[in-house]
Amino acid sequence: MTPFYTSSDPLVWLLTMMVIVPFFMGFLFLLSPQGFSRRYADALGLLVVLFCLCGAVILWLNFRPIMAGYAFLSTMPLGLQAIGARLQLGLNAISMPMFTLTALIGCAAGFYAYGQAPEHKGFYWAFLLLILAGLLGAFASVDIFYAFLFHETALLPIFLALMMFGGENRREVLTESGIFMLAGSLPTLVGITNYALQAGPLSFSLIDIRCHLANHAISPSLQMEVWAPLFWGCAILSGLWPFHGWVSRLLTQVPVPVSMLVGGSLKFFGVYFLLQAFLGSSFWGVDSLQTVTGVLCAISIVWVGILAFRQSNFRAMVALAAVMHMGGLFLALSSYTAEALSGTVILMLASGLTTALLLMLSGAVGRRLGHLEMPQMGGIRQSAPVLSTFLMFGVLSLMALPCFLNFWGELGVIVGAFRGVPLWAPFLLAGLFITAAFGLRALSSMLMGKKVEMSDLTQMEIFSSWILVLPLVLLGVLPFIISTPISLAMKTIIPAQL
Amino acid sequence: MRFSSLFPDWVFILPELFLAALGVLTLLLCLGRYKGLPITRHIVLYSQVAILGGSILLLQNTTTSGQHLIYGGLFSASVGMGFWGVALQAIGLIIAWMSKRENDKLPLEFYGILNSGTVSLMLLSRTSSFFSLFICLEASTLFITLMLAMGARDSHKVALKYLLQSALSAGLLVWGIALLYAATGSFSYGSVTPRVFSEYPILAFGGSGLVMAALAFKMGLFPFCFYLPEIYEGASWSAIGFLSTGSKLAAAISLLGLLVGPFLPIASVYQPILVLITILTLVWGALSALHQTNLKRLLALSGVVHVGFITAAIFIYTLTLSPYALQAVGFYFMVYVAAMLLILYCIIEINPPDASLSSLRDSYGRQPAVAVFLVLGFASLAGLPPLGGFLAKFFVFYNCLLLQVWGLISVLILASLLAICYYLRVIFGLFGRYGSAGFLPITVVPQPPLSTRVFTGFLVAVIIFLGIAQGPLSLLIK
Repeated sequence: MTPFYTSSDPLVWLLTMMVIVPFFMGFLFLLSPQGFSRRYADALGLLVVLFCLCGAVILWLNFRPIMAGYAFLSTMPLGLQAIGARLQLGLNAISMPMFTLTALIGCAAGFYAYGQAPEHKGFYWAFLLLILAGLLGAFASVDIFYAFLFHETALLPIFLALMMFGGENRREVLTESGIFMLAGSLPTLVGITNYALQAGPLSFSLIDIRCHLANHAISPSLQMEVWAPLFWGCAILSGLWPFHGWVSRLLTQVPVPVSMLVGGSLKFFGVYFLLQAFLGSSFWGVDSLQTVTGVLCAISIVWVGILAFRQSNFRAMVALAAVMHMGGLFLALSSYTAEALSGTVILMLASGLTTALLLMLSGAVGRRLGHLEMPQMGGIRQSAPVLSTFLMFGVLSLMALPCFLNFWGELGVIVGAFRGVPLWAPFLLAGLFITAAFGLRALSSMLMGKKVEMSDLTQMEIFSSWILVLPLVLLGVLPFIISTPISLAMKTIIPAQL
Repeated sequence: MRFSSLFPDWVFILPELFLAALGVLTLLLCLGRYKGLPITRHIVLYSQVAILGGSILLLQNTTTSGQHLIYGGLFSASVGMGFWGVALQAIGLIIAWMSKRENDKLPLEFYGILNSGTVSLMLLSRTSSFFSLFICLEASTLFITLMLAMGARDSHKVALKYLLQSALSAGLLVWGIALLYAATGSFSYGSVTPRVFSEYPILAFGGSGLVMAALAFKMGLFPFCFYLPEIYEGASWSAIGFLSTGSKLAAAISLLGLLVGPFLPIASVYQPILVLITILTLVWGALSALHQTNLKRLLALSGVVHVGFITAAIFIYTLTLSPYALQAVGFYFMVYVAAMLLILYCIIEINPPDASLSSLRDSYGRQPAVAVFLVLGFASLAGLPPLGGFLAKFFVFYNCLLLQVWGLISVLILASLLAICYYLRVIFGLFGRYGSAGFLPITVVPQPPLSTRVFTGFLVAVIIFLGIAQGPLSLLIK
């Protein structure tokens, strides 16, 4: 009989608990939405997100890959062993930053959620914690079936949160995002099942699949059967052009804490999943799709960038800027060079933090002014200096200026892209110019001009902002903290020829 | 001397015996002056809980391995059968509490009839003889007819319709059994051997086909599903619960037992027909459900689609006899039953003025927790993760994918997509008041009674748990 746990290491337990605790608490809130007073609900919710953040930091500090590039490995057979799926949790060089990113954003979203929706506190926390648990599980799963399952787990609470707490166009957005998520999830599931059936010894575990692929080549036609549905599924889920509209509209309609988790973490799942699934395998020999990927990414960068530039609504602009990053990330993936892949991980981390920060600030501004139209804002810097400072941090980080983590991510991606796909790499530079244009315009519209009366950020909102800004600046000034472990750990995964 | 050594066969159907005794006792109580007392109803309900507890204990202590026949070959006894018996008993129990919530003035007779109906279904799932199959099937029909007649106004018309339709099914069954008896000279399943099909092909093939058709009728497979929307529309929510879960489950177990038992030698003949019926069931059910505005009709038609999924898994099982395919059948049924009961319980709690979809509008504002539970129930039926419904559908897909039956896979995918469309329509309605940004307002927040909280909480936990950890249930199904 398969043991329930394959390790007794307390850090392994910590990783498992970081997935289980928010899940359990989320269900508890869901099953008893009126069973907690507002104060207890807030206290419990904050306790859980803080636990996740502290846990993520402890795991990061103790991250030492031991087996196939993974650390903190544990296995829990939950009943799907017959089809080759086991709940196998563990972190490697790619999942560790994403896992930490999710915990950071989850904590920031939790602090922002404090004091929101007083009548619906139970549901509010239930959805937030279930989304957080789903995302943490998705990034910590070594088994790709469970990674997919966890990702999908996060979707249902997003829909419920949208229905209950969403903006005025929630019905249209719900229908649209439901269709696109389904359209993305189905091919992804087909791709995953094909991958396990054809590429591995009937196992969804990435470790088993990589071991098997190291000794067994797969024919190009079979590669296409796996790669094509997975690519299209992940492209739809990530919002790559022409599937960009639904992601940006969803980000503008869901409640702010949910949009932070969606825009800052969930959106990257497609790129992350492709990176994890095909790293170390020979699947990237499928060159026939490189041109298609290049075209989609180039249009994604330029066209979505122009759309962002045309936006007068701040939150819509941030949402489109977040989607625009997908073009760069997919381009970096298709270049398949060591620099680009390391840069992709760093850029996902940086872009996630920046997007979450800007979405949170958009929520704060919207709650105070009642609108997010940039031309009507004028000088909020006089009445809300703290908010304005964080806003500047966010926008400058979005523009990938030095001293911010985005800079190192963009640098890695651009250098790698010039090596791997030189034809399409200039579009990345064009993207930077477009981002700078709409970023500076947004700062000018919102901060400069006639004074607008509004209150500044609350203590909780300031704390929430610091959670996101601190790693952006710290890792931007001292990039080796993240780049060294990622590069070292990547060497155990990335094929030697890269 | 031990009871089990005195009456060795009786031990295996102790739960059925106790439940039947409770049913008879309840009907006897209806004759006396205790009929109208609320305490009588509570005693009956808690007795059901006690019998279910005893059945679970008995199941845990049953050590019989394999399958053997009892009562002269009328029924079969095994741990697996005991598990399905407990499942049917649990369905009966939840429906009893549900019906109490639906109509507090429901006559006490209803509980007696419900318990007797549950016993007939429990025995139906154990049959190993055509004779007992006929008796149990007809007994269940009789009790369901009575339950339908005890519904709202004009329910007697619905009951009559059901009785007439069932008479057709009974006719098919009797005819089929007669043909098989003519071929074999026995009612036992074991007497239908491959030799019979070669020596008396017309009698054996004809008889098998008619028996299968009768069970297909009970399950609501195409073309025997046209009557279902009419019946559901006129029935009470509790009766719908019994009809859509217990009745279908017992019929499916019987059909499965026949297909992989006495009719296995003619598998190559019935498999193409089975797959055709499955496809037609899925397509007709999904397309018909798409434009429904009546909730009861929608549940009837979407139930037809779910039966189509289960039949697809049964088809795969008859092809491969693989335990995973059997697991898919059992898992799908358990998840479907849990979600369906949850939905019906929540609808009863919301207490809509009529069965139109618009009557559920803005239920969230009145009963937030119940509305969210209802969403979870519908989401599970739609097959959305992380709920049990997703994995139930995935198991069916996976088994089909292994056999590469692409035609069936395409229809299954189409039916799943359409299912999401019509279930989403219901979900939208629950959260009414579109067009206003911000948090939905809550007007009244009544606290549901403890029994509702316990049962709906349990059912939600089941569909969520089955979406995450399938191990324990899979083990039981195996």
